Amino acid sequence: VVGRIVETAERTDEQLIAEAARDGSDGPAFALLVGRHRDRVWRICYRLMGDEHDAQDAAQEVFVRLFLHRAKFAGRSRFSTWLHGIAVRTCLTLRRGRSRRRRREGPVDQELLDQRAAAAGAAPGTALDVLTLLDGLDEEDRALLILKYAEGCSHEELADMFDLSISACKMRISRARERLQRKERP
Amino acid sequence: MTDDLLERLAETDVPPAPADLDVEVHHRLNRMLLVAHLADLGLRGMMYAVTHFARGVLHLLVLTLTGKVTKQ
Repeated sequence: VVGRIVETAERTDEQLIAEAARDGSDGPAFALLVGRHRDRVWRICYRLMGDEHDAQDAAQEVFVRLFLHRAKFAGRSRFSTWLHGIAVRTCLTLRRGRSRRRRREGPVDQELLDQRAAAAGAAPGTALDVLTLLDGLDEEDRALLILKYAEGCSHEELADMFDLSISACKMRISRARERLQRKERP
Repeated sequence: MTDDLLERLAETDVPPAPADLDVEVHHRLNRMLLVAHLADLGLRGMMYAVTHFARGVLHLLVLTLTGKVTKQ
């Protein structure tokens, strides 16, 4: 067993996901993939969801979806980009569900906004401003800008994650920035 | 100005990933697999039971209509 674990640890992500696809349960290959990518997936989920509790739900959901779709990895992009695409889509789905619930429940709670600002560790009036401005954008545009500027993703990675061409990706980022600028100076 | 604001996004703190994230994922997957396997077992068991009893009913029908006993 130890020999198998050591041998597994030396494999690439692409080899591990192929091995995980052959396993019937979350064996050593899948566990190792979760261990390798948990921090980055967590960062993406936290940035997109905006608070720790929702980010934890989202990160768990991402790995559950990874398990369910583990046989679908076709190797057209890097494994990490494919996984981050799952993370983005999961967060967008959860956020849409959350906003529908909030619309039903009534206006946004100011206390919740204050908690978010504190959780973000932001200097007053800086990061919160941009987070509030970003909340006014379409969910996908918001996610694009966050991943581009907060996580430093390249246009190529973003294009793979959002299933866009590189030029369409650049265009969407540029338009989202323009919209943000218009919101900033009404 | 927008550029400045966006650049500042990277400066916001992200707390470390929860220590029990892997364990929670493992538990969720176990629960999910358990439910899936139980549903599979139930479905297959039900199909077996339906086939088993249908055969008996079929033999009864044949006996009623023809008076002949079918041998298995």
